[in-house]
Amino acid sequence: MIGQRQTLLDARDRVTGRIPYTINLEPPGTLHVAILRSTVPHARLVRVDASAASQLPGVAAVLTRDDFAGSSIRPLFGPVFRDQPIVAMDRVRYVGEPVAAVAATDLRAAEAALESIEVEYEELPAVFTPQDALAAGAPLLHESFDDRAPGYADIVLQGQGGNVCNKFQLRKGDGLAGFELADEIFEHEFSSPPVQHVSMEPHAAVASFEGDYLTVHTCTQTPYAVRDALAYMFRLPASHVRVVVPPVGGGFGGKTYAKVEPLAAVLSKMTHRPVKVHLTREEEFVTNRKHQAFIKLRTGMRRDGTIVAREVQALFNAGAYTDISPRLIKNGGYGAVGPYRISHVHIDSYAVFTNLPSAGAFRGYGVSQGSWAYESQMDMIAEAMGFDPIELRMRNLLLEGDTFATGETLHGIRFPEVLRDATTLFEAGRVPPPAEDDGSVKRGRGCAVIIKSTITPSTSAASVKLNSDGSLQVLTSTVDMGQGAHTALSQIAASALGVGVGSIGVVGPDTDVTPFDLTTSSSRSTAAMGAAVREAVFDVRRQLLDLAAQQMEVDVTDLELADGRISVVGDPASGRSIAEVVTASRRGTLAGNGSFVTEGGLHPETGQGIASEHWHQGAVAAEVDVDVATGKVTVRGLRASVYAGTVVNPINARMQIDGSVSFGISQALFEQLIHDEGHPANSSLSEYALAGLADLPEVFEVSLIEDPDNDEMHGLGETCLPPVMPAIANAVADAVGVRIRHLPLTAERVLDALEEQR
Amino acid sequence: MRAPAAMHRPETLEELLAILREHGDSAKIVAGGTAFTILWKAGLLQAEHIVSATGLHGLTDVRADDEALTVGALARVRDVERAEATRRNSPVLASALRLVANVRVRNVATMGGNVAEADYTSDPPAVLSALDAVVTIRDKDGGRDLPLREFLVDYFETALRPDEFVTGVRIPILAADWGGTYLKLLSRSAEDRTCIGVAAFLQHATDGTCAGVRVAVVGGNPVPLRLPEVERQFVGQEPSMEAFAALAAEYAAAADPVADNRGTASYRRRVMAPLIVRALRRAARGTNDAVFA
Amino acid sequence: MSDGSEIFLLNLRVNGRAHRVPVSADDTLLDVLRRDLRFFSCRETCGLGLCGSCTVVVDGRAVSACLAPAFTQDGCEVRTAEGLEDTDDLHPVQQAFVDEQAFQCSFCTPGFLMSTVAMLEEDGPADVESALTGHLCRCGSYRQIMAAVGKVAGDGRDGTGE
Ligand SMILES: Cc1cc2nc3c(=O)[nH]c(=O)nc-3n(C[C@H](O)[C@H](O)[C@H](O)COP(=O)(O)OP(=O)(O)OC[C@H]3O[C@@H](n4cnc5c(N)ncnc54)[C@H](O)[C@@H]3O)c2cc1C
Ligand code: FES
Ligand code: FES
Repeated sequence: MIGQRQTLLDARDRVTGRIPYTINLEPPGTLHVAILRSTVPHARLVRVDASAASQLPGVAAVLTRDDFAGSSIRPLFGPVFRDQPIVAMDRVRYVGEPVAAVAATDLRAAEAALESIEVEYEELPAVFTPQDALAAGAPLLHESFDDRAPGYADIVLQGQGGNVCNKFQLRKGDGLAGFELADEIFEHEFSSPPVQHVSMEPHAAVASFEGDYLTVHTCTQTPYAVRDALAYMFRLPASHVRVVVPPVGGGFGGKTYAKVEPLAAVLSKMTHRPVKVHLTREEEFVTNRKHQAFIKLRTGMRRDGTIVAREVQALFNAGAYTDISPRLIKNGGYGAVGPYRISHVHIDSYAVFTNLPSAGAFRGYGVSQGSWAYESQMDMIAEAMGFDPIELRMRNLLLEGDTFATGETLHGIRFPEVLRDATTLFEAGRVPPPAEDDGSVKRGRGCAVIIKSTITPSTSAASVKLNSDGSLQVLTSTVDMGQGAHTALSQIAASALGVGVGSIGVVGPDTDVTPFDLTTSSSRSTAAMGAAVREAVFDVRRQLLDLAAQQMEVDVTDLELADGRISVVGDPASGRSIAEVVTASRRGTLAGNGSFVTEGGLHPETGQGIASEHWHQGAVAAEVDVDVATGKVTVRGLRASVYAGTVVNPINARMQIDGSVSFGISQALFEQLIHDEGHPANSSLSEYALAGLADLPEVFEVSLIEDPDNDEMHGLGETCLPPVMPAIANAVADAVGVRIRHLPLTAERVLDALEEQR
Repeated sequence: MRAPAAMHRPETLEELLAILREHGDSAKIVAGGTAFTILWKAGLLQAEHIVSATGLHGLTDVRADDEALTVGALARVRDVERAEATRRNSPVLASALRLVANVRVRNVATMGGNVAEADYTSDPPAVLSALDAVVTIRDKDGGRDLPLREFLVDYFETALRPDEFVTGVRIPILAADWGGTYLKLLSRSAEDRTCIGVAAFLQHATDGTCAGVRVAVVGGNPVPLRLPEVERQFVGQEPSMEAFAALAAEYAAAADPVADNRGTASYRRRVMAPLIVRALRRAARGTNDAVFA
Repeated sequence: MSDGSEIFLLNLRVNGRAHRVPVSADDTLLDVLRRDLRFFSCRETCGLGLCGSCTVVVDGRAVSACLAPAFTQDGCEVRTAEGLEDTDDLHPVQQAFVDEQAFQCSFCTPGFLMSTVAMLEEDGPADVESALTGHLCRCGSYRQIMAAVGKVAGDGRDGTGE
């Protein structure tokens, strides 16, 4: 079962199109919402007048800041700092920020009413890059940081002031003094643009207040975080807020923490009716995004190719509100050291407020930005010092038992194997030669290898119910977003109980029913929730065996459970089925609980401690063609290798890697959110380019490196995304000798660089 | 908020022309709707009357005689690309149409809509312009024929009056000794609109020189860029790389590109010349196809 | 019909059943299918004809429902993914998608199914790549999708190449 290909549990619903996404929900009487959004990047809100709009036909309510005056509702939310208003209060801080919202009997009426809302802005100076935001005299986005949300023990808050949202720092060995040991020092700056998740399903939520009991159906990746945010907002006990998560049409980090739920809930409270918020694609582009980052990387090398010192100065563009930036810049900070043994490390990583939409979790979680820098620079160093880029990496890669920059000792480390596996792509003849015959197309090869943590500390809990017919229900708050999590959990449960997958049912996230889980992200669900489910199954299994021992009047240590039957060891004929034992017990159902808790945390000044429970290891090798006449880059071959530990469902594992690779190619070559003075300039899928089927390489290989002696499951949801971008840039440099340090590698950027070189 | 528009679905051309005459500027035609609907939903079009052309019977034929291929305005792009008449008489056009958008769009987009949209990144106008295609136009009182190069006036602007309707496109057939190609550069993803498109046709004389050349470029100019004077100077020259490059340089110099998310004006100008050379080389080889650059 | 009114009574057959829906000039076929008739297999992702998640088969051809003004579809025969299965059996294309597990979140799946069905019915096993360009799968399940389609189209393609 574990390690076997397993068709998704709800496959049939998925191919008939009947799968019940949040966007399909519409209880009787549902009101639809249109949102009036700021048209300026930074302004004092002088006046918001919704009186005319609220009189229009079909309009049930218009929410503006005035509705919070004298109300007990707390208008601000956010997972770390509660700094984000449901609708703008005193100011707006980015173009697209909600200023007012209309709930009406149909969407067209709601949209029409927006035009009758009058807004007066008094514009303020605005900043769009972290550099400008940190400059002396820059306009400030936030004056105070006082409303910290509880939870997230791993997040250290420090460095606030000016426009700094948060800072992470790490000092290892002699820090900067380590550069004295270097024979050569390399210093470069790299940048990654903001990009959007573009999950096919947009953010959507349906909220309904009944008395003081709030129910929200939403496509979130973090049901408990949303529940707690809503309970705080409405001053309700958590037991009065129920968050249910239907199947989700893609998340990629974009649906973590409260996003549209507060707005739906407030409007429902105002109207006493179910309220549905369903964002448009254009709105998606201002709702969440990957952090833009500027990373200065200084690396000290010994003549023999050993890295002795590394300094990282990272500026992450947090946008207007904090969201999860403090954690992201931590992971992005230590993640920028790379999978290398470096004695002296000095890291300063900042999240900086700007007048752009907030950035949040995004597949790769800060590691993409850092590895873009260090894996690009690795090839630059190799070239400058005359090393083979693969050999230079091999010489410095972390090995089993080494210490990471955080001081923790690493276990389960397979970097050299992973990198070597990826580069088998380069074996002669695997990738067909360029097609164009006029000599204008050049071929190049590149590789990259990365290290990524998983959220630590974290908690996942699961319950199971064993029914009297022997079937088992798994109650889990893990969200099924297409990664096959529920299927994998059913495989784990089946294997722990020793029954077939067919008798397992999975109940998805419903905070009234399913136990706590931190988040479905960070590639952690199979590993963390899997462990909790296994423990919960072992809990019922123990009860089951105890009951059987009583019923059969034997000692429990003499019993074994196999193939759904409990029998005395060595006497299969003595057996009873699980169903018989549960039925005879007259308990109705047996309930079991399990949890999986990891510990860790880093020292605020030195960044030393435990950053991750285990480490994700991935490498990518790429072959590209570069057309020197147009600058166009085409990926012709790619091999992604990942250390997988134990694989639960190989097909799902591979598909997640496929997905990471297409995300990576898309970000390497095409994706970037463009702004003109803070105004989004490409908020549609025709203006925001995404890689499609024809952009994938014809030679495309995925390799899962398993370890039969290790039953640890490694998350696979994002490990192979970060190395794609630098591997492609390294291949481009190999092909035509130009080094692009700013993503994406657009045709125009490559052509410009080629012309500069000529 | 736009006032609700009235919907019309005439069944004959006469009916349609009468509606256009009656409502003039306040009426808008929708054919396949693939361009119209995007603009309409975005609130970028104003109209009190929307007139659907798809209820008409006819204007969908694709026919050829000795001189020209004639395509009805309501013929779907996908039907035109697959029609035997197109494939036989204008293989470059047939292949270029296959590179337009995706199957779903081509299944409904009409040839009339494609030229009437006057999008500077549209592919077919490059080929049509190079082939000296003529647009046939009707109004309530009669009609006129306009060469495509006069029909397309500016970015998203045609010479059509509000009461006029395109009924078809007439595409002269080249003699068998011409070779041609259409080269389409996507500067971003495979799903993107064209950045630069080059249609090139070349006729070899028996002495190895060029008897004729036609080049039209889209994406780098408000309307398809064609320089007949430059083409004429090419006649009698050897089809050499140098000669191709000289011609291409004249086009690049004459172009008036716009900047969009697919490339700056400078980028479009810079890639135009090498793409024209590449297209001419293919045309000289007689590939008679359309390919991505 | 050419009455030129602001409400048009649209006659449509969907999956073999007749429907009559009053529509305005602002309504697309996608609006009618989702909002009025509740065929939730068609989904909007781009609204621009680019992604294919709203694909339905109209009079035998795959189209983007998001780009079709509703009133221009009068008298059309529409098929959606809900109409593919028999009482008990999945359509062979659906079955191939299940067998090859050609989806992750499956938001894109009905669109891919409808384009594939139209391709097979129109041309028989034709050029699979070209039939499926213009279909976005953000989860990146392309190779499994191609394997599933290749299987029903009989070209023996193996999606993962492994
Ligand atoms: C996703 C997508 C990708 C695309 N990619 C490409 C591409 O790669 N290459 C390319 O060339 N094009 C591309 N297009 C554009 C496409 O070719 C045009 O949208 C289509 O040809 C327009 O035809 P239609 O019948 O749908 O026109 P409609 O949308 O119905 O009409 C377009 C315009 O023409 C007017 N009009 C239509 N018919 C007539 C007529 N007979 N007489 C007078 N006026 C008329 C309408 O009033 C309207 O202003 C793409 C479009 C989409 C949506
Ligand atoms: S929603 Fe219709 S094609 Fe994308
Ligand atoms: S499976 Fe998620 S978009 Fe295709």
